[in-house]
Amino acid sequence: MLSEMLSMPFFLHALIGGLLVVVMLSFLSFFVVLRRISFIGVGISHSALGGVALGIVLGLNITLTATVFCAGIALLIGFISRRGYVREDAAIGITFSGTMALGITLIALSGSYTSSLFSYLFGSILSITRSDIYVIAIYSASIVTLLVVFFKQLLNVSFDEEVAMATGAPVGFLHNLLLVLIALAIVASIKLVGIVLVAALLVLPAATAYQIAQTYRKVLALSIILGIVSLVAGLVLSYGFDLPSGATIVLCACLIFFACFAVSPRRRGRRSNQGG
Amino acid sequence: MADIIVELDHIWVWRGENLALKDVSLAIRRGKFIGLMGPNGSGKTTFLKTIVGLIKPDRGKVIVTGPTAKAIGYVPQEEHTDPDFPVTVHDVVEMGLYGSLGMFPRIGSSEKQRIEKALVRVGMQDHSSRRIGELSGGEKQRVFIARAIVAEPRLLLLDEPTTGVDAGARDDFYRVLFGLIKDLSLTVVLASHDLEVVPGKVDEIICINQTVFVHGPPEEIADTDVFRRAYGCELEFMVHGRYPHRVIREHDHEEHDAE
Repeated sequence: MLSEMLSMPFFLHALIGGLLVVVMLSFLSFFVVLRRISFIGVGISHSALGGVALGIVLGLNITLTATVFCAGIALLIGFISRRGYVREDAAIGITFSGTMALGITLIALSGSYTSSLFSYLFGSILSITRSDIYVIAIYSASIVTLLVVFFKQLLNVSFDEEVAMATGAPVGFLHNLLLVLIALAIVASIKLVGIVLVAALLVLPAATAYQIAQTYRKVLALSIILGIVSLVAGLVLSYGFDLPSGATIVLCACLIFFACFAVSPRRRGRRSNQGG
Repeated sequence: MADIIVELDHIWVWRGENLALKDVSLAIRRGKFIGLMGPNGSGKTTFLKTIVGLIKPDRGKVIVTGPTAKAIGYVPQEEHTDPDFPVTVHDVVEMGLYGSLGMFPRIGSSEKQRIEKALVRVGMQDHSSRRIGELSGGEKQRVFIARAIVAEPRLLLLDEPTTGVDAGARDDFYRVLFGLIKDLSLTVVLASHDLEVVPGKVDEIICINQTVFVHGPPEEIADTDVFRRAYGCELEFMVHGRYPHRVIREHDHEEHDAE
């Protein structure tokens, strides 16, 4: 069946685009999970709808408009939460519900409410084109390159922000950089898996790897491998059973998470500790 | 003046609505082992964070003298890190070098030797590939000290390093610390509310509760009532170890109210 699927251009595009996206999101999920900023990822991904809608209504390039909008929202969330003006979870909740409501209202005003909204919320990986792949490749290569370049500093800040700051690490810059990279990855991924599901892929690969791997190198490698496995399994199952591709990919990632959670040495270690 | 390593000049710090440090002025001299003492909530952690630059004073200034700005190693309280974080002992000590290696740190053979040497100094060289979360509280504290000294600072700040460790681990900790002070000519400021042990170990005591009540050698301040005023309760005079010192005796909190 796989060779039959690979002979179809739309499936090949989906596979290539999907691989670029899952490698990028899995790498980011490593820091999202370690820094415990999953809710920030959810907030930025949902606020992307506002950026997409602005692009549609203003007749601008949707990807560029969403990129600028999401990066701005990411920096706003980072600024508000670090300054402590409002509690971080409240800042994210307010921002993402407000920008999502703005997006829905603008899309409704544009007259393409149902079809546009559904495709941006849940994605359509099987409809991506060669030019979409080029755009995704540029975003993915840029984001992965920046993560590699700043990897040690980001790891340092994620482990112990206070001591990193005391030794002169640019903690604020690194936090904002990570938020902006999350925003860019979300924009690049919307067409494939949609706004709702991209948030899941920003958390699940590393959260799963974290259950079974003991060192950060293994967590990172396993995150990327599990992301790819979820993608391929999801695409094959969605083709075989005529299911929505994005949702099937995320369901596969969830199933792998629960399987790893069941055999997790961390969970068993905690249970034996609780048992005395 | 030449032997002053850090000087605090009329420091005032507010934490929200609360005044944490009030007009603190003092000098920390090279080569001294200083005990920073005071009751819980007296501003010891704020004092250390202000020196290391994590807290900007609302008034006054901190002057770090010497050739490099990265002259201070800092070991915060143990419980502030995620025990499940997937890093090894070696990774943690390596992080201590990043500040001195710039934005894009490269770890070559000389850096690896420095990491190994730091681990040997704290007696953790056989644990370098263990995950940090697997260590006991005392072992973890020694790894954090290795991280703080790997960049070869002149001043080491320790925040409640022996809280939650047993007596054996505490003795090991002081043995390691005295070795570092001797071998590296380190200046050390150790924050603690442990009146039983610390005064017998240090060269100087800074006693604070928002403001500095006293700063001097333990033998000069042991028989004054400055601790009673700083802690706000009766303290008992004890003589064992290097110097006589005071401990809090069991007391009823109504004593505070009566004063």
